[in-house]
Amino acid sequence: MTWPSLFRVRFGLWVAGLLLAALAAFGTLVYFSLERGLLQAVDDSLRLSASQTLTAVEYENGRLSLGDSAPPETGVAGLVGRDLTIRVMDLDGRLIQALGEFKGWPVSAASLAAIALEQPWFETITDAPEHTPVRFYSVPIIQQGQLVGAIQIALNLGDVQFTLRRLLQALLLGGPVLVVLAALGGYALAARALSPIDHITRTVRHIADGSDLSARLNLPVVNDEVGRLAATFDQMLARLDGAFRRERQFTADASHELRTPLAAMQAILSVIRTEPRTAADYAQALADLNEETDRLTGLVEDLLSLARRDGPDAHLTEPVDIADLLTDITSSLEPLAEAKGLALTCTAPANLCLLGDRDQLIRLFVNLVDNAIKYTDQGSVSVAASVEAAQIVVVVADTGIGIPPEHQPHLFDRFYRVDAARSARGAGLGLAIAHMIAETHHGQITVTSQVGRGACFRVELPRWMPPPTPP
Amino acid sequence: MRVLIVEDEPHIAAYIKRGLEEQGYAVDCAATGREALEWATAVAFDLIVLDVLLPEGDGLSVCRTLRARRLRTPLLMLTARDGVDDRVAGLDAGADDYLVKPFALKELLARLRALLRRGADAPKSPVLAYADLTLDTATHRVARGDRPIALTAKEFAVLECLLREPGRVFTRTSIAEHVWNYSVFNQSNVVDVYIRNLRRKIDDASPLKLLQTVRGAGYRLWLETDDDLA
Repeated sequence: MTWPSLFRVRFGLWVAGLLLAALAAFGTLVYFSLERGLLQAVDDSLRLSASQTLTAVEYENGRLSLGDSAPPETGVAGLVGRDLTIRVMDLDGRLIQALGEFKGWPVSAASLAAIALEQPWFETITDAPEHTPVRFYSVPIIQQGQLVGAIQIALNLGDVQFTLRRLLQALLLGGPVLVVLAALGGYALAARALSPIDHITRTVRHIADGSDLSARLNLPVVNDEVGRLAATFDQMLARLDGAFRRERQFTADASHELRTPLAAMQAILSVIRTEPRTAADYAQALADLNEETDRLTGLVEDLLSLARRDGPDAHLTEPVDIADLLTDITSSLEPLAEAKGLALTCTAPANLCLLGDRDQLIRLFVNLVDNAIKYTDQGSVSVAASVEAAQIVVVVADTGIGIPPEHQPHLFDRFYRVDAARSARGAGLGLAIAHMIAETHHGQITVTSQVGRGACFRVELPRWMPPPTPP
Repeated sequence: MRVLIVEDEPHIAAYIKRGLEEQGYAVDCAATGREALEWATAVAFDLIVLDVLLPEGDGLSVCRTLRARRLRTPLLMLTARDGVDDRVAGLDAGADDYLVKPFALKELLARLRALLRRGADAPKSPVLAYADLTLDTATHRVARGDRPIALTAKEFAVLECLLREPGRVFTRTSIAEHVWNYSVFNQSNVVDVYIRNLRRKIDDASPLKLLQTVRGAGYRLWLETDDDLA
């Protein structure tokens, strides 16, 4: 049996159990309070009858008798007509006069003892288990301050017992039916409440089995607990799906980029080795191979430095003077700019520092300036640093071909190329690495560009103020 | 056999070209999708080797465009993408075969030979034969009966061209088109030189002359006795 149906059964049983307990408590309460109420009513009626009877008792010459002065409907005969038994007896319990169904029943010792103490006495007597019990009420007869005898009024408790038995039957028969119905109802309710959960479970299992992250629950939008769970789940799936897609794309791109230089190397080797070659041929082949290994090495290094982003934070403890850094970079890249006839300028105020990893920062700005030179055929490339609030802002601007707006949002993605081809050599990792370095330095990098007018990369990095040196 | 290599990686293009040329193929290179379309519509290539990732129109769209123009040249797609979906996309775009980089030159050559055997009228065996003349396209062995004949790569290519359709008359231009690439093929009297050399190596030592000159038209492989019977 699967988990959800087990839960449904448990829920049904819980409901049934709770109802059973409630019914038992309620039934017991009703039963006993009804019993008490009915007995009370019997006793009240016995007491009333006794007081009526006492008025009819006559005591003459030491003899007790039931006079018959009262009209028949209210007198003793009337009482007997209401199923009452009336007995008059002396102090020893000898019956003097008796009327009614139970007139022949023995007189209990307990009642005699109570009468001797001049106390009224209630008792319930059953002569045989198969017979209904009878309620007896004994009242002492006191004439001129002297105890002379007693009367007993008795009433069959059959009606009371019958009523109570009917109640008990109703409780014992109806209760289980109700409990079973409650259990089934609970099961059905649980099944209904759980059916979206079942759906979620099936979807999750489908995803787990087939790793198809494009599946969605698509439950109708209801703002209840399950609806919110489903919506949250769908959101999580969408994010996972996106992350997986990017990861797959990255893996495909990386393997493509790694394979291309390998393919070139294999092409070179398999052609060169088919037959003996001249020394010049071998030299050329080795030079070509060397180019490809350089390319592969650069690619692997780029990939590794991107992968290190997931590792521990770079040690951002070295104070780096931004003017020094930018001047170094521009002067070392000057020959590249000069070869294309570009003016490369650098302006940076002195004493502008940040805490960071110098090697990584060099890489960041070399990537930007190198790109700017690569994509600019005439005009200039300018590097300018300034301060805005607590940020150092470095702007690398060129007058090159620019970046079409549709490419700008993806420019910092790994392996993203504006032109599908490698017209300019490089795997499309340079800007991704620059972005990663800016992020690890708690900064950011943004781009603005107009096609044909040039591109402008803006790097913001937190400024660091050296502690004031003692005078 | 004339091959067009479409590949933007300069080393890969250069070395495949060299490897194929050493096997007697005439090779032209294109580095972009646009160049590939220009070449393929201007020249009747026997084979096209096409990279997928290209500037100015990727390989898949080049392939689709060529097939839409009813160009039926056998086409082998070459790419570093090895996913099943990538291969399916390549074949569905109209490629006849698909080779994943990096690859061994030997495999590329074998696949190209297989593609040449695939046409409706193409000989199904790697060994082409006419009368007692045999030519093994895989090992490059040529023989008249039991007598092996040593040929240069170009002589081999000319003979292979004629042997693919024995009896058909090839003009100098059509032979040149299949055997030389763009840089030399306009000198059609070069063909005559190779035919003369071939005739010396194949026919001189044998009473049955196979290489026939059809005056005013070109050359063909033909048993002169067949003419007598006709």
